[in-house]
Amino acid sequence: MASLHFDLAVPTRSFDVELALDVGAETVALVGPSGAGKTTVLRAVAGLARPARGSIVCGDDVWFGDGTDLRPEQRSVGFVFQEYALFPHLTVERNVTFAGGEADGLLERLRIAHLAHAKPRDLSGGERQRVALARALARRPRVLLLDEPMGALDPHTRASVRGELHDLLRELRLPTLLVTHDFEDAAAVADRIGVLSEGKLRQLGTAPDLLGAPADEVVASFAGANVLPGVAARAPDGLTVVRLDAGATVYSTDEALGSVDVVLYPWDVSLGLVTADDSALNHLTDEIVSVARVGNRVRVRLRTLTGEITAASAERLELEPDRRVVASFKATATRLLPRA
Amino acid sequence: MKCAVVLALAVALVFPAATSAGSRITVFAAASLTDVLPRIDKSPRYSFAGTDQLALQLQQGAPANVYAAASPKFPELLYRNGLLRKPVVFATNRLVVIVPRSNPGHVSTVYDLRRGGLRVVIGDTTVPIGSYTRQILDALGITADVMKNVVSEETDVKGIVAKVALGEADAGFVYGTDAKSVASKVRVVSLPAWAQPPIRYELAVVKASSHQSSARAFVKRVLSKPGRLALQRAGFGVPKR
Amino acid sequence: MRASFAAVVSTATAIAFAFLLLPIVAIFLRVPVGHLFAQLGDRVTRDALLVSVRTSAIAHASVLLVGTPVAYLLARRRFPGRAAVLTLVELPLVLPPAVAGIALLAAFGRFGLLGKHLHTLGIDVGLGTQTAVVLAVAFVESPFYVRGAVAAFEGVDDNLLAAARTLGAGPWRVFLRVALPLAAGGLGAASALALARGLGEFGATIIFAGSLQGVTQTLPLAIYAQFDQSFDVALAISALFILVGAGILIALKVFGWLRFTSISPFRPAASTSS
Repeated sequence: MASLHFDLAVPTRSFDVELALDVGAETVALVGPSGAGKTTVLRAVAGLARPARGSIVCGDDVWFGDGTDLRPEQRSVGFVFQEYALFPHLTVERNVTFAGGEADGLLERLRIAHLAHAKPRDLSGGERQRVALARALARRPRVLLLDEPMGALDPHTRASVRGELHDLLRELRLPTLLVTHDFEDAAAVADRIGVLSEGKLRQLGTAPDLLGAPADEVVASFAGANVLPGVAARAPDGLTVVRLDAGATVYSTDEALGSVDVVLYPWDVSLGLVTADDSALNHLTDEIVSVARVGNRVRVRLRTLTGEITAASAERLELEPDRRVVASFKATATRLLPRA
Repeated sequence: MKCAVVLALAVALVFPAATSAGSRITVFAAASLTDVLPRIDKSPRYSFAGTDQLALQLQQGAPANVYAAASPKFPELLYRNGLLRKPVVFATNRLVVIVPRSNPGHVSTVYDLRRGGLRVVIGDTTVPIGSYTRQILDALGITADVMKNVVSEETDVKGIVAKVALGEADAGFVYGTDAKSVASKVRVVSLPAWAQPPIRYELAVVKASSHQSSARAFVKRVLSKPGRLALQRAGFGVPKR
Repeated sequence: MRASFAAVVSTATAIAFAFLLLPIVAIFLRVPVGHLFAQLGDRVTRDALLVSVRTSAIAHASVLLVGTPVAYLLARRRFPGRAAVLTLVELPLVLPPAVAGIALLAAFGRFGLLGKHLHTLGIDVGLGTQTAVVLAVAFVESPFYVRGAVAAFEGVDDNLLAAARTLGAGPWRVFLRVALPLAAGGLGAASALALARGLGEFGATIIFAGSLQGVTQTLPLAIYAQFDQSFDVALAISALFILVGAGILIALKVFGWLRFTSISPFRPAASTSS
């Protein structure tokens, strides 16, 4: 089973992207804010961008490095582009067999056999994504590269596609690099996640690793956490007290001193209309800025932080902008990251 | 209101005055008269082109006052048709052969033009220089051989002059007056007088035009002694008084 | 002044239409149809038609053959001096045809830069040769094609070409199976424009190649020569010319429409919901 190893530096307009990874028969997601250089990494592996230095090796074959620089057509990659880049003048079948070979099995597997003679412009977003996948796989590549494979889909389609993609990648067992700006997509589909920011890797690990122990505030905020700056000091009972820059005071079971970032996940926050009588919890009274329904959850944005509760709870509380609510969260859920 | 003024200005600029300006007359003249006529009288507006082209423009109603042609054909014809007043001969010309200064074809007499492989340029049958050239070739009895060497039949004698002066052609048949204007770039091979066709330039006033008196004055000036002198100096012949 | 926008636009369109159509209609109104066909029997006309068709075809084919790869390169690669090359390719556009003719003489004439060497080898591409006509036509029409072709290739999405490469296509396959089909609409339009320009070429031809019936006298040259002798004949040949030109343009349009409707860029995008 082939694997992908690369260690490269690629210059871009604003900074150099530097990344070293070993990808086995697994899916590694590269996440980060847009412009972080994630797509550049994919293009470099495919041979569409030239690294300034480094090496790219697939199995026993050197694709780049030591004087070698194989052209894209000489490497064995399957690339799914953002917006899919399907050939508009060819039918689905012709698209998939562009690299040669048989299409039937693949079309069946991806449930697009009935679209074989359709043209890309007649397909929906989800169908186009499956055609792009089929086309990338038709050549039996040794490495799979996916650039925002769900970026062009509406939220409703995304949910179902996530599961399908996860199963497909599991079945293929190819070294796969997936780029996305959505942490949840990454968490659902990938085995490991690497957070890229301004061309550098901040943390590499599984989703639980990143959520439980984010290396810095970039990783944390990327994983969807609230990141609240403040100043920490020792408190009785082994706790740490943090005075937030925003004004409130919270307690944490983490140990830290001085300038810190408080990392708090929205789903660890409960909301109520009055302060619950529970001293084990942190309490924050704040004003609601916006209320947004996402599936069967509701994201409530307060002035200071964001919380996520069930739709049922939201209804019960009759939440709406400008109302004051109390946000409560455990001291154990209040993590601390030292600030540089 | 402002819009209307701007619009009027725009129209005035786009359509230059079609109305006559002053009492300048317009003279349509054969191309070979380009240098000499303005020297005789510099006040008219001149339009120089092929004699036949000018005749056609006149027939289409072009606004000229005087027509000066390189052959009697069109002046007589248009006179018969009532377009012109009676034409009068004012100059004669002769045909010559010109060769590039370096004489790549080694041409010393017109009979040399029968030699195979030479590049000869003559006028198209539709222009006077073309028909005159064919007349002289017939008179010399060398038509067939020379025509085999013809590589271009120009519609304007200036085209013949240019191609010989640039060295692209080995020889060209032009008017004697044309040879004078590019004397430094070409050598002249004269043609025997007995074979020359009569090349008579005729001048006529356009009947329906304005400024009849100015037009007649122009004709008088061309026929006058200073006019004849200027013509002779340019290489034209002048009819006996 | 409260002229409504629609009224102004309609008026402008009507004026433009009338301006362009009037001279053409005027010719056909003055030429009895019988004359037109009789004209085809005239040797001069037939020879001119043959010369025009032959030289235009050869010149145009050459421009397409050489110009297409050049346009592809100019569109897709950034190399030092690219701007200079683009300007050079467009140069004949700003040259008056007469200047183009003189330039060709200076290059390919008997004593021209390249011409004098060809002359010693016994090759003659100047005055009096049909090759000279082909050279003049090709020189004058090439920028019309190359400019349009560059734009057409530039309009092809980079990602499509990149996708083709990741699918194992080498440079030739990428060009033939992706770039060319997708640029075909623009290439066709540029080709039609260039062909039309080439057919109508006069100034450079008469200076560089001269005018000789059956050899170098193209339709425009024949019209000009006949203009001196007989206006009616000139009219008849002009009408013929218009028919030939219009025929070619229409044929190209129909061919393009039949072959390439499937990739028309003006189709609305499909919705993204499943």
